[in-house]
Amino acid sequence: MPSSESINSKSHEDFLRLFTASESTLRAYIRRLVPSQNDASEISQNTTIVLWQKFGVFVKKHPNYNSADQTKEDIQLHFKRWAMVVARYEVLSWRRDKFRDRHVFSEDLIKKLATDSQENGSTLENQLLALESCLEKIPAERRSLVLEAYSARNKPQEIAKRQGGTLNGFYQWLHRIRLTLLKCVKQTLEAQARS
Amino acid sequence: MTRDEEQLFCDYAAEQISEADFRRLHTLLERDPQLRIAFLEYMNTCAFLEDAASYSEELLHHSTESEPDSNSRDPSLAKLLKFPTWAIAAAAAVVLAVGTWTLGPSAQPDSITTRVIASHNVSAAPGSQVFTVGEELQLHAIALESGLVRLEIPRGVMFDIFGPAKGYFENETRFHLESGRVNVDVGPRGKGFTIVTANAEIVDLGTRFGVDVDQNADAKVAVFSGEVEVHSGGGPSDLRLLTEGEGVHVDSGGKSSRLMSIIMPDEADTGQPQLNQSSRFEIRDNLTSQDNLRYYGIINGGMRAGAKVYTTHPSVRWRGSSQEPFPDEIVGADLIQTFNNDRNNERLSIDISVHTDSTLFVIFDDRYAPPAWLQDNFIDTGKTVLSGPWKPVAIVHDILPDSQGNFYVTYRIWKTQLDAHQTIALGESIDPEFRDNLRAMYGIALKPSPPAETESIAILQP
Repeated sequence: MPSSESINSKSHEDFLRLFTASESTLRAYIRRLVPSQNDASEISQNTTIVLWQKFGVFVKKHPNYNSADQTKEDIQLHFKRWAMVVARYEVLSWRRDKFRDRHVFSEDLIKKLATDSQENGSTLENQLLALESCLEKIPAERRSLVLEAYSARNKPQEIAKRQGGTLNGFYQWLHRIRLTLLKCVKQTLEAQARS
Repeated sequence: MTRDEEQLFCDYAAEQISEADFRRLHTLLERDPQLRIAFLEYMNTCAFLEDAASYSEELLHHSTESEPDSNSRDPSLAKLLKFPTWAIAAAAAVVLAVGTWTLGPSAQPDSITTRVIASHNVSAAPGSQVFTVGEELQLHAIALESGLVRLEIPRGVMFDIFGPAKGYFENETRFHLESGRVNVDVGPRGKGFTIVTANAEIVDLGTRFGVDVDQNADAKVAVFSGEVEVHSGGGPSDLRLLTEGEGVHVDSGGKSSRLMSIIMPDEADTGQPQLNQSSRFEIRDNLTSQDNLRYYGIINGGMRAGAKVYTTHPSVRWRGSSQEPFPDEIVGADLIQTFNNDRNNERLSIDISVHTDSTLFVIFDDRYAPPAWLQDNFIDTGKTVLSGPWKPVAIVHDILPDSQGNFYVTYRIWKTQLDAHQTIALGESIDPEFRDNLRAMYGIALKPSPPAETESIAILQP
């Protein structure tokens, strides 16, 4: 629940509107910094709660955020930046709990990746948009298998077994799909830049 | 990025990376800013796919409306007639030409084992095969004067042929189409199935596609899902890779060019496919390039709630809102499926030329101020419709989901009257000055004007 810093029902609606507009970008930002989908989900949930609790602080810093003087794009950009700062702290906080785990980057490296991620935010966001059309270009059966593999409910071992292959072979196949998507994204963005 | 670095990314994303490799990846990322960018881009695809998978699951879970399954391969005639997409899409299809393409080894046509899944109003050439549903046939040549036959051929390939058409099987994986139209769904085991024409070969890479050879020996190829390779002209540069929503026209010299539009099936039509129905207008745009071979999908009389909005994005459909039913004025108009990706193109210009007096509707995203080209040439009908459900993508960034978590975009319907043979140019969807105002691509529909009233009353008087 929000702190006393001022949330009313109108603010609730405003928060939802701003958060929805930033949600996918924010989730991707977090996912780029941590090793697994589960970790990213956990951090995303915590981040959302903190954003809601602290929305009053954001409103205080941007008292005219709902006025005609502020364009919708401006306020969304402010909110997104603020949300990323919060997410960065949440990732670092999560990292402190997990530092003994294998495969968790050092605090220094997470900070570097977070900074790179924010500095290249526009490009990475455009890539997310281009990925939408690139995914559509993958033949339906393969696309369906990829989405099945990425669903949190499914176990890759079972999918690999059903497909008659090895787990490692299945991971390599997913890797090739990711590379294909990346290539398609680059071509799409280059074509957009030329047009 | 080296192969070794790519492999480290792969193992990390799969959570299969060894301790030693993780340390190596860590060191490389700390030292190399460029590699960090490549890593972030790679992980971006993971983030996107996880989101897409999650959304896909939710869509399945929450879907309350029955929607044709575009991947369904139910071979029954009932299914065929209920969802003529599969069959008629062939309408969209095809073609072939006579030319210089080298067809490879000229094998003697051989018989293959087929099973007749469906036949509809078939009239076969004198002395040719009779098609009885359920019967197993040894076939090498097929000649249909009219009607539709659906065959299951080895490897689970579903093969529709629409009369008038003529061709023969070279073997289980190659069919020579001499004239007419075929539609092929190769299924999971039939990858590599090839349609051979006089000057082109269309190799299926796991997909549904159609091929049509007309009387001038020109060929048209359209892909409905997946991808195919089209070889024509005999040179390596004449290889085209087509994906869903793309099509080419191959002329008799083997030269291929973009197929601008095709007639799509009407999913609500449970009657016989009207494969030969001609279009009442022509459409073209200024975006043809080596990379853009997409076709506009035209559904004659197909505008209604539930109709597919774009040639891709199968889940996104036109519909009325809870406050406003689907407007009668636009129901039954010819629907033109556009490309959602064109929404960001500032140069977009679509020309529409009508053959008869018509009302042209442009269905435009209503979230931001309409562009000048729309306000100057069209009248606001005051009616609105929705498209959706959309994934939680950028286009719907400023829309709140409904109670089921689905996103819908509201469009306003604009219209203008066109005289016979008039051409009108439609402009861009995006607002060049406010590029962050993300709009969905607009829709188009066209309805012939009713005949002008004559003095028939006098004629009817005794």
